[in-house]
Amino acid sequence: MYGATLGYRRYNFSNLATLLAKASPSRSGDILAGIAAQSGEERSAAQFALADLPLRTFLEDHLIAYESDDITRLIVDMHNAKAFAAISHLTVGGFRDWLLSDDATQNVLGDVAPGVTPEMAAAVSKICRAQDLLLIAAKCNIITRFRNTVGLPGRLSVRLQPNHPTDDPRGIAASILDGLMLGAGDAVIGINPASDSPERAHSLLSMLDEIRAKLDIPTQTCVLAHITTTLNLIRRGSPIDLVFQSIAGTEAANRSFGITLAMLEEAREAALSLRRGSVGNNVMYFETGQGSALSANAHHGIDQQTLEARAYAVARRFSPMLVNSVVGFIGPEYLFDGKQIIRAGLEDHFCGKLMGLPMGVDVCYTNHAEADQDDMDGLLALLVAAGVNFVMGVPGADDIMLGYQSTSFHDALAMRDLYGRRPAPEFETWLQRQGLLDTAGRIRPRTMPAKFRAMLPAS
Amino acid sequence: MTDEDAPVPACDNDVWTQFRKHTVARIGLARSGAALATKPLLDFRLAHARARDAVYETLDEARLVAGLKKFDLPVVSVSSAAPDRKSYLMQPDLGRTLGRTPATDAEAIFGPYRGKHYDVAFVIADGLSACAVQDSMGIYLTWQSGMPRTDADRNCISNVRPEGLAYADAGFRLLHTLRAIRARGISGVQLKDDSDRLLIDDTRN
Repeated sequence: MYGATLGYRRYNFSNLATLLAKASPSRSGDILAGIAAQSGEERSAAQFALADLPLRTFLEDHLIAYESDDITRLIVDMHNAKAFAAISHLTVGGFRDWLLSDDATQNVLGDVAPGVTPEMAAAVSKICRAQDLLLIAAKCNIITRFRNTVGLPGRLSVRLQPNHPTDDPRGIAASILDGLMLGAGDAVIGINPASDSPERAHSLLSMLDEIRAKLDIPTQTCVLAHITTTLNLIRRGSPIDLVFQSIAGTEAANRSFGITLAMLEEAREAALSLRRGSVGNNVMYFETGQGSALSANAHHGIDQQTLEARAYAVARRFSPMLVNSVVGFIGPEYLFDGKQIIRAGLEDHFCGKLMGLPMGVDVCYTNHAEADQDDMDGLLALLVAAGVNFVMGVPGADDIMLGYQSTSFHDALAMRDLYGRRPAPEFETWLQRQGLLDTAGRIRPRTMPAKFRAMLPAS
Repeated sequence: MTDEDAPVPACDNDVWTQFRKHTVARIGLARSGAALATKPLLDFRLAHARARDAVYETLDEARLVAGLKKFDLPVVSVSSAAPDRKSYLMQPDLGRTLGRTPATDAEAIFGPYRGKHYDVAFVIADGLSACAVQDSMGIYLTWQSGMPRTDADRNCISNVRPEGLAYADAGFRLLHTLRAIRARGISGVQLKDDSDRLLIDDTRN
C-alpha cells in the first residue's frame, strides 16, 4: 500500500502499478485501460507519494511476478548492483534532483545507466517536467557503430524510410536517391515492406545492398520484416546488416508479436556471424511505442509509459544500433492529441537514454489523431535540443505505404541548420565527396550526381 | 532569392519526372534553403485536410451492399457497439463488438444462416475511414477467428488500392493465402506469404 496526504485528504494506492499509473501525465491509453487518475488532485497525490518512494523499492516490488514474465526476470537478473550503488540511497524525487545536478555529468550518467531499471526511469520521468526530460537526456551520450558512428555529440542522424505500397524497387530507389541527396540515411536506410513475403524481402535487401555498395555509402541497410523472416533470410545468404524487430514490455505482448527473447538472441548471433559491420558490431534495430501492450491485451494493469520503458530492458539486452519509439503511430486511443504525443516522445527518449540506449524517435501522427505538422515541428525541435540520436526521413513527411505522417528529409535538414547538428562523421565525409555540401558545410544539393541517376533499376 | 537558394534546379526536372513514374511519394520537392518551398507545403496541408475530413464521413452502406449483390453471397449488415466515429477512435474495442440487437431482430438477421456450414466469412468494416473502404482496404486473415487470437495469429495483405496492390494481385494473394491457411490449419507469423515464389515459378514455366 502506498499513499499521500494532501491537506485533510488521504490518497491510497493499492499497489506499485496503481501508484505509477495514477502518477502518469494524462493520456487516452491509460484512460482506455481504466487505470488513469480520476482527478488532477489524485494525480498530484500519486506524484507526491512516488517522489518519496526509495528507488530500492523497484528492486523488491515487481510490477509483474518474476515467475510469470520473462521481462521481469530479465530486469532482475541483469540488474547491475555496482552501477546502482551510486543512487541506491535516493528516493524517486531525490533521483530527479540528482539527475539535474551538476554532479550528474555525462560520464557519471553513463556509469549509472546499467543500474537504472525501466521502472526507476519511468517513475522519475513521471515527476519531471518536459524541461527536465530535455536537460537530463541531453547529458546522456549513447554512441553506436556498424558502418558509421551514430550518436556523437553535435550530430543528428536520419533513418531514410523509402516505403512503397507495392514494394516497387524503382519507386523505392527513387525515394532513396531523393533522401541521399538531402543528407538522409546515416542512421539506416530502412524499408517497411508492404508484404511479409520472404522473396520480396530478399530482393529488397539485395537492391539496398547494391545501391550501398555501388555508391560506397558508409551506412547500414535494413528491411523491417518479422524477425523469423530475417533469420531465415540470413540462413539463405541474404545481405543482412541490421536485424529489425518490434518489441514490447511484457512477455505476453511480445508473444502477440510472435517473438521470444530466445528468438532475438538467435537472430542477433546469426547477424553477428555475418561480420558485415566495418567500424562496429551493433546489429539490432528495435522499434517500440506506448500502448502496444494494451493493444495486445497484455498490460497487466500497468500504465503504457512504464511498459514502454520495460521494452527498453529488452532492447538493452541486445546492444542495439538503433532504438526507435514510433510515438504517434498507434493512434488517438493511446495518445489523443499533439500535447500527449509530444509528452510521450520526450518521455520515451529520456527513459531510453537514461537506460543507456541509442534512442531515436519517429515523430509522427495518424490522420485520426488531433495533431498536425505544427505539433510535430515542436516535438522534433525539442528532441533535437535534447540530443536525439536519429529521426525519420520520409519523402515529404508522407508515408504512402504505412499511411501516416512522419518527418521529412527537409525537416531533418532544417533541424541540422537550426541547431548546427551534422550527420554521422563517415557519412558527412561521403556527402562532401558527392558534392552535396556547400562551402559552409550545409547540405545543399545543386543537381543529382550522375552515378545517383544510374541507380534507378531498369524498367 | 539567389540562384543558390533556388528550389530543385531545372536541370533535374527530367530526372524527377522519370522517377515519379514509379512512385507517388513526395520526391524531388522544391526547396528554399533547408525548408520546403511554398507550393509543396500547401499541397501537403491540403492532403492532410482532406484526410482529416474523410475520417468523419459516413459509410454508404446501401451502395456497398448493392455492389456485393453480383457475387450472390449472403450479406448480413450489423452495427458495432461504437455509437459514432469519435467513440470508436477512443475505444476501438467497441468496433470489434456487436452492437445491442433486440433478440427478434437478431433472429431475423442470423436465423437463415444458423446450422449451415461456412468456411470463410468476409467482414467489411468502415473502421478508420468510410471513404477509403469504397476503393481501398487492408485485408486481415485469421484462422478460426472465433477462438482467442493475438496479432501474431493474423496475416495481412495491406495497401489494396488503385495506387497500391492492384485488385487482381490482391485477389491472387488472398486466394493463395486462404488455401494455405485451410490446408495447414494455421495463420499468422508461422505462415509466410510465399505467393511471390509462385508468381516467379509461373514465369519460369
